[in-house]
Amino acid sequence: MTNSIREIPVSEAYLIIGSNTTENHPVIGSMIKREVIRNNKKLVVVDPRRIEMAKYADVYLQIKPGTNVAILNGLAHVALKENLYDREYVESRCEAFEEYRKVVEKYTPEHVASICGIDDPSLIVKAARILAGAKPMALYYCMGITQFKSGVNGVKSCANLQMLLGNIGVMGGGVNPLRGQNNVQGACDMGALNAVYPAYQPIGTEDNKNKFMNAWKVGFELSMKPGLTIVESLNAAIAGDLKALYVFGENPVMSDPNQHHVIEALEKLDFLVVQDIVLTETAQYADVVLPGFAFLEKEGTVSNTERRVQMMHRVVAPAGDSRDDWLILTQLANRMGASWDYTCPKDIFEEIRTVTPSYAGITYERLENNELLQWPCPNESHPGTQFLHREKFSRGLGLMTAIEYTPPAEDVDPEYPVILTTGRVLEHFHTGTMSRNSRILDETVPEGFVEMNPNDASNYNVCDGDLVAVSTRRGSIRVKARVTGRPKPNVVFVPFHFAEAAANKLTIDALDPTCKIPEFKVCACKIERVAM
Amino acid sequence: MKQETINKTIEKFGNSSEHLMLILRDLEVGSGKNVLDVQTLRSVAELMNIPESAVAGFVGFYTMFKTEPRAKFVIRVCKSGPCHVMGATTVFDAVQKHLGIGIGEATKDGMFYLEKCECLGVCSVAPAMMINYDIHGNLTPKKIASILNSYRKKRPSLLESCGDEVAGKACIIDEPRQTKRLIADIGKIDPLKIESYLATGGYESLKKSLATEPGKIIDAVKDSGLRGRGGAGFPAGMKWTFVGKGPVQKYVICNADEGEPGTFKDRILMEENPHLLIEGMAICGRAIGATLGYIYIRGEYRRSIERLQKAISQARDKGILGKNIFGSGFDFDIYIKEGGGAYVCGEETSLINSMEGKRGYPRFKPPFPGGAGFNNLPSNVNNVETLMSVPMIIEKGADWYKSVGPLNCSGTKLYCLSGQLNRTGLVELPMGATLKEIINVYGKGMPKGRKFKFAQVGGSAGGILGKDLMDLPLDIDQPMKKGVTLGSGVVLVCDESTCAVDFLLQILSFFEHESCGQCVPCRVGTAHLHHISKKFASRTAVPGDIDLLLEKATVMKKASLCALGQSPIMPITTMLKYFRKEFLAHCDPNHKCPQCDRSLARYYAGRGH
Amino acid sequence: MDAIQMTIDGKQVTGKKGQTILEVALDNNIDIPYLCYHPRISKTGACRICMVRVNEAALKTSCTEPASNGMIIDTDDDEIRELRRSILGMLLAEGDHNCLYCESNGECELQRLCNRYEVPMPAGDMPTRQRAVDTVSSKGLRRNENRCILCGRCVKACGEIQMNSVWNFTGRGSSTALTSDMFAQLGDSSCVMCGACVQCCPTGALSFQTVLGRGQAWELKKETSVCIYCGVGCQIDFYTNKEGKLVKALGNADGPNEGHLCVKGRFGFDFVQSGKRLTKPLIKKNGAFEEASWDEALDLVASRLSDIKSKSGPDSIMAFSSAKCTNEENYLMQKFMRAVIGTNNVDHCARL
Repeated sequence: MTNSIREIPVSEAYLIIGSNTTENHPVIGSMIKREVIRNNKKLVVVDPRRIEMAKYADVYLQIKPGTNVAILNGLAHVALKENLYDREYVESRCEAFEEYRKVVEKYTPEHVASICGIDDPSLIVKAARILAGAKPMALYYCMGITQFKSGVNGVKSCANLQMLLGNIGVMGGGVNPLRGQNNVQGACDMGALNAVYPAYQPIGTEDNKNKFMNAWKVGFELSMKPGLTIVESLNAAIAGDLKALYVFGENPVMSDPNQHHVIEALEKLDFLVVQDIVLTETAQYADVVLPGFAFLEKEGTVSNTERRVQMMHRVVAPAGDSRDDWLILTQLANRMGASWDYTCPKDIFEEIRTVTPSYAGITYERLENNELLQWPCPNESHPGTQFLHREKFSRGLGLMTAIEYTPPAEDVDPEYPVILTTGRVLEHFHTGTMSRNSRILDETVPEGFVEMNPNDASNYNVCDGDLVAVSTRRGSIRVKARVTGRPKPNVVFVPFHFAEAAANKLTIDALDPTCKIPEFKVCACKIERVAM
Repeated sequence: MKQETINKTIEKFGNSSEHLMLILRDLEVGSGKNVLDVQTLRSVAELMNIPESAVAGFVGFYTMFKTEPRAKFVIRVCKSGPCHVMGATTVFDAVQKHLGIGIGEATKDGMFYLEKCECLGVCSVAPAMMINYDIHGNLTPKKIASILNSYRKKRPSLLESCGDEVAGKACIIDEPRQTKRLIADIGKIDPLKIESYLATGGYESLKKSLATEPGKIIDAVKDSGLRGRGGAGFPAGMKWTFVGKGPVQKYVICNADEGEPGTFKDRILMEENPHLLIEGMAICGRAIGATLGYIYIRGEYRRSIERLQKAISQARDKGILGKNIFGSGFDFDIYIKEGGGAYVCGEETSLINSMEGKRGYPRFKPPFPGGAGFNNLPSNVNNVETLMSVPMIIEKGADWYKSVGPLNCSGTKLYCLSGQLNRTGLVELPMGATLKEIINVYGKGMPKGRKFKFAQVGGSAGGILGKDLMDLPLDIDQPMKKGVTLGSGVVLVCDESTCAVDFLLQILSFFEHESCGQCVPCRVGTAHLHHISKKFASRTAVPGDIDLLLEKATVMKKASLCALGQSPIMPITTMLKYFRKEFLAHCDPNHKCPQCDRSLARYYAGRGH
Repeated sequence: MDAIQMTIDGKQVTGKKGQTILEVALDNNIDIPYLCYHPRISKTGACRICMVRVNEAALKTSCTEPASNGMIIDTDDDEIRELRRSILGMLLAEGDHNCLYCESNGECELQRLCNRYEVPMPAGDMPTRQRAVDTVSSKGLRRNENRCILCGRCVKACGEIQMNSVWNFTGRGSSTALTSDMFAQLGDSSCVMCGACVQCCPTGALSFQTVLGRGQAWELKKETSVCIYCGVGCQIDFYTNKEGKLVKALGNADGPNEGHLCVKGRFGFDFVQSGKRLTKPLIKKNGAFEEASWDEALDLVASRLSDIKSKSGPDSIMAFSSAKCTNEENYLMQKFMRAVIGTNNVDHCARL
């Protein structure tokens, strides 16, 4: 998030796009609801499903999955045409506006409505007026923006709109991606990515290479070649280029697209190590399984969606002979010739501070004093950064990007006539490793389902609770139907938490060309009722 | 109920929770079984986009609504003070005998359902009952039978068809020695025709006010010494100055939730001279800068509601309400809100919550309504009688107004006479009339040569006056000095045949029934007081229970959030002052008291209502 | 910010404009008792326990009365104590307050105040009404309204924090009761089990399914950590019993969550102590896992990775790091891949 959770009450309006906030980030969802319901703040919701947030929205736009770029361009079009945008902000703080304007000009409400499957184009006008008319306006998005072949373009379009409306670098505004895992921010910050060192320092420069060779006292040249991303690595395994895989606290069999393909890759490997807390679906394929600590058994820091670094403490004694994850890695590294001498997580954090400029001012002592620290925090007297891009963007001027709408990889056809989209439900998390092993959560929602519109249900002769087969070109699952007014007609939703009805047997492994994110949110499927 | 019907009803009144009362009343009457079933309520919540629990909580608060099917006609028999004294138990007996049903039961044909209720505001013709929304008084077993039979062919409707005996005009005592100001024109003007009101000089005061500085209007009301006629007696002009200033919407709210048992004055005024209220509110609006007025009327007063509605639309047609009234540039309009059977909504902040479509919980103060009232905006709440006194002050001046009544309680007061008197009804007298004068001159003394036992002045929240206070001037200040209150002007007279224990039981059951339940001392205290009073009535009390009554009521007086919980101490102390011996006598298991036995058997068998 | 100077119990204290007397007192560590007040919800003013004497005259509820300059407040005198005792006595008489099996025994605010004011169990025969007991319909929450003091905190927690307004009061006066949506049973309602109502409940009327039978309040140990689920980073106070078992999770007000949690943060912790946890390293031999010692397992991993690295080069090895692990662990994983294996093949599920 460019901005902070505690700024929610400061915002005058919210655009929520591609985020089922009340189910996937419920605490933030409640905070936004509070402002909308109690303080009459404005809300525009864009989502293929009539999610709870839509109930409170001034305008709800039910778009076809995969048309985010079009709707965002459409909102910008109205703001431009009606001269509702922040001209002064755009002129003084942004660049490449003309190119952007030219593209956006084509996205008239009527044109956008036809791309997005919205019946009434005037809703787009109404939404744009609301969003442009309230300042500061905060944009919140989640995987409903990113998990597309055009994911990067979706993100850039969000930034475009917020620059156009002068809402970046402003308290209560911002482009605010809601991070889906408790330390996805930190894992990125720490350089657990294929092309960057900690703090997003690119691996491809001599300076950075030398810096880390010195810091880590490495006796050989660090590689400057970009590594593989997760989905690419699975392809490499199938191709025979990747021989060994070390899976640390992940469950790709469940979480990655096209499950059949993932399993094929894992089976092809010479050596698979899985370090986890239970025998996950992925661990079944491992050669060695290393039992790590669960979150309540360990100490360390995590960074939340607003870049706030927080301390985790040991609450319970470790299970059996399981071992602290940092210790496993250290012992392994030392067996392979390293001489790491960490004695506790704090030792590691002290090293992190020296190589991660944005974390340099954050210390365990400050965190233990419950200081609210958000990176960048360059030195120990720095209070941290509540919101980014104040006065100027990190790169200087904000770059507006002219982006055309491109359709998703797989369109519906007579054989697979329905759009499938996937996601999470309130009671479960990701691959279910944790939530499905928590009794109350698992008992509350014990099985998967396919959510479908009453129109579609009657077309396919399906009643609420019927067992149906959902099939794509990649696979088929059997789940119970949940007939509700939530999804758009001809769109069905399947949650991906359930191994016995794994949504990712169905999903497509098409990737965004830049960031390699898979297109989980849209593919073509068919629905058939099956006898119980 | 059909979704379409529900949708239409919501459209008719407006899709906002402030219209919930009217929407639900319409749906309940339309159900034909006097019921709001859960499915209907869920649809209402969904269509109005309000939480289901808010609708459930609302319906649960107002006793006129029920979620279980009742019958085509609900018979509500009043058991409040005046009706109780005048024989509510015989009404219950007669209805039960005629229909073969008990309280909380429906006839097999689904025609009638019997309930008990609190004051219907027709106390001079007690005992009374209400069938759906029609009120009938002067009930006798024979009359009850014929009334019930007449309903067998009727269709349920919100259009009232009350008995003639409850008509406003019929409830005014015909006695020339009164000082008629507020009721001067009643009988002379036709309440259904604005022309008739205009012909007597109506709306001239409003015209005059529109040409007067708002500050001067307030000064005139202040100078007149007019004090609130709802019960608290707060100086009206001063209250007007407390209304927030600045360019925000302000409201004039008329408190027409006349629920104090024994009070029926506001009903008569509204029924017989509705334009006078409109005029008073518009002048108040002009004075405080409010462009909207609301009249919150208890749901039982259908005739008042209908006549006011008619008067409002006539006034709008004449340009007296709406935009730019009388071409003055001043806008003012009035809307009606209804109550749902909750005495506590006469408390001004409960009333405001109720207007907003919420449970009628009183709000803590500060903030006062003048600062944050309806929709949290500045609001001035006055009683009907108070607002209706305003036009004459503007017309004739403060000095004229002050020419009657004592120095600090100027003007006339409407006294509501009920109970065991030869003549009952409404009288208008200069503030400070004595009990002796009221009973002897206007009430024509006690019937059948019986002796005076006590009078309840001020209603259930008022006190008991014995013979020693016969000469006490019943204004706002004098009764306070004797530990009693004039309140809304109730004078309920009881002769020797009334049992003090039975009477107090009736009062304390009323308070338990009407406590909103929000604050602890009142919620628990009223239940305990009722319970203890029942012990006296059933001869299971011990003398120490007298102290217990006093102790609990004292805690309630000191700690309750609103006036309701602070009230029971007054009837208890004053009743015990005169009749402690009678209470002690009731501690004897062998004590004979048919009145207590009858009350317990008829309507206090269960707990509460 | 305008400062307010006032005197509470003879002590000069400073408050801020807009605060109530109670808020000023609490900020100055002056303990005025209360039951319906809660810092995270709007004021109710209904329990009347917090009444104090203002300017040596009237009694006012300190939770609703605005503080103003020069006020003189007495939080305790004979009359105030007597009133508090009476009100607490009324509450005891109204419900069924038997602490023996109560989930809140030891942390009940009513119990604490009854102890402080030495309120006797009510004698006499005042009527009590049997109220709803609903301990099974909801998977997460238990309700025993006989312990309810109708303070309204739960109604406001749901309506003002979670913003779902599942709870409300229905009925009136002494018949007031809770309703969940329009249902008698919470399990039938749209409750999402965030648990905000339970966290605010001053008595044992509302409690978590995880608490009863797992130790007494005073035996529990509290430690703060960060929720493992989504990226909001809610701070949670986890409670464990004498046996080290997890008992309950309460939102910590200092976190970005301001004390609130969702159903996952509230109830999704027992996987940590589930029987499915791995307790020993496993090595697959002939297609089946066998338990192994740490040395055996680590030696095997090290030697296999070294072999593959020397045979096929460092880029033939890949690691998936974890968004569910700490910064320290992620840092070590990427360092391990870059500085030990010698490849940039490291990624995690940021995109999934």
